[in-house]
Amino acid sequence: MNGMDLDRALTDIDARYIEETDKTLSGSLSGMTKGNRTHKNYMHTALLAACLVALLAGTVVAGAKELKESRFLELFGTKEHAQKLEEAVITKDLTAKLGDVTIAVEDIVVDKHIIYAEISTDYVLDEPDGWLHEACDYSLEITGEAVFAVDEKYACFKGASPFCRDGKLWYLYVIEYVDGIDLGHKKMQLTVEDTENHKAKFEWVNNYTAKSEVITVNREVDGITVTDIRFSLTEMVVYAKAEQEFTLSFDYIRLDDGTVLYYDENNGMLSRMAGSGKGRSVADEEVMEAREFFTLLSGFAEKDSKEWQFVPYERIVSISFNGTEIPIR
Amino acid sequence: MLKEIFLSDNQIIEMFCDGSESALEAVQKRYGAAMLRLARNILSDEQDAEECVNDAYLSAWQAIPAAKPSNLKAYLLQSVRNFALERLRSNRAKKRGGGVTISSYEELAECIPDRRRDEPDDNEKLKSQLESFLAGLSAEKRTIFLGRFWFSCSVAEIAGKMGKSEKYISNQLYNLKRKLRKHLDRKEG
Repeated sequence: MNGMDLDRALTDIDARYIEETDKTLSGSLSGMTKGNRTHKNYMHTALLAACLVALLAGTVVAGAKELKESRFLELFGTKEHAQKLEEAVITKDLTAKLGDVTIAVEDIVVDKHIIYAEISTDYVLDEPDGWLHEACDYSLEITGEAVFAVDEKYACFKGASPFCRDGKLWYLYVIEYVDGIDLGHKKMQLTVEDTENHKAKFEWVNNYTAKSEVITVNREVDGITVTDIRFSLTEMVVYAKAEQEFTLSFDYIRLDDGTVLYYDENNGMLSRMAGSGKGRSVADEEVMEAREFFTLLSGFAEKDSKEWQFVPYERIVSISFNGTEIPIR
Repeated sequence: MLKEIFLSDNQIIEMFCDGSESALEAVQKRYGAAMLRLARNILSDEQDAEECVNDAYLSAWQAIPAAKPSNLKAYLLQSVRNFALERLRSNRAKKRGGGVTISSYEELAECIPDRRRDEPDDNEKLKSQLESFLAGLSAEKRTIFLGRFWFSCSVAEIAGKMGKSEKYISNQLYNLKRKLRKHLDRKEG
């Protein structure tokens, strides 16, 4: 018998002795400072995911990934989804301390032209999970963008929305280059500042190649020509032109199994957070051009249903505008 | 205003039984800090400590529902302690690592009576002897003993939490070690 044997036997003693000591010493044994708690939790989650890869193989790994996916999609009100984010969810774990609060860029969800950054804080809230519609005592100013050469300027939609997750304050920050800039392999920077001017800057390089597809349509509907439709994982952009001011009225999309899905651009925070919206420009004196953005993350549902779906763009076989259904595949 | 929402042990165990990965998140939220603290006390290396905690999560994932722990926290802490001690021994064998448990581990080894050192390992018997030793101690002395040798806290930490001087804790530990050595000797004899 040696010390190792004694230690092993000591480990296995009755749980009530462990509990008794733990309770007495609980302040030092169980406590962690507020400041690093959230980060540690998510560090563990990341490490845990790595262990699962090694030891539990594919199904459990997929499960852990699905959990992150689900939580992200639930923000948008999407519960059931045939489409998967899969490799689009990239763990970042970039942390900084702003005063007493720890901030972390936990994950980014990446697409061809959009990045959704999930930013955690360890600021505790007495709110249910979900979007925060009223200001709380603590807030952050977030700005972020891709880094381009000095003389390169591109139109960028960006914005942050606070939400509560697990009783803590989080932000979803969306960066979208509406001119179709591919964010894959671009250097990104994101600055976070609190109301007391504590500031932190996060930087990373996107190490991914996002899929996308541009379908040339060139179909005329009521004097309006739908020229192209650009798809990527989370977004559909419809390009159209006409010789005069026009309104392109979207009706529905049809999937390859015949399912018809309608769009509600007012679904929750979606219309302002996920790239839904319209852009209009004058191409020359004779032609008006327009583009309309639709998020595929949410907003599409069957008629009169509020069960929003994350739509796989490959399955969209036709789109209807102004009462005319246009086959695209 | 400030609150933490935790699931109960039974709810967490049910999630394990259902094969829900959310169980891991829940257990991490509820006991992750305590588990990491214990692993850190035993191992000086932060990464080693975090890996041991993750090993314990995985072990629980694989063991439950076959094992239905009546005390989930103690079960998880025991698991972390096992992994951490294994890692410590491995590190020692590779001549790396260190930390407080090197000394607490060696201190505990001093409690083995000389004539039992060649005895083959009998974990159940030894466990039973340790439990009878602990049962005979006051709650304060049990806390000091287990705080040092089970949770691998430093003398200063135990003193701070119990509102005692370090000298008092050191003296108590000295006496407790002598007492355990006698206890193990007597039981064997």
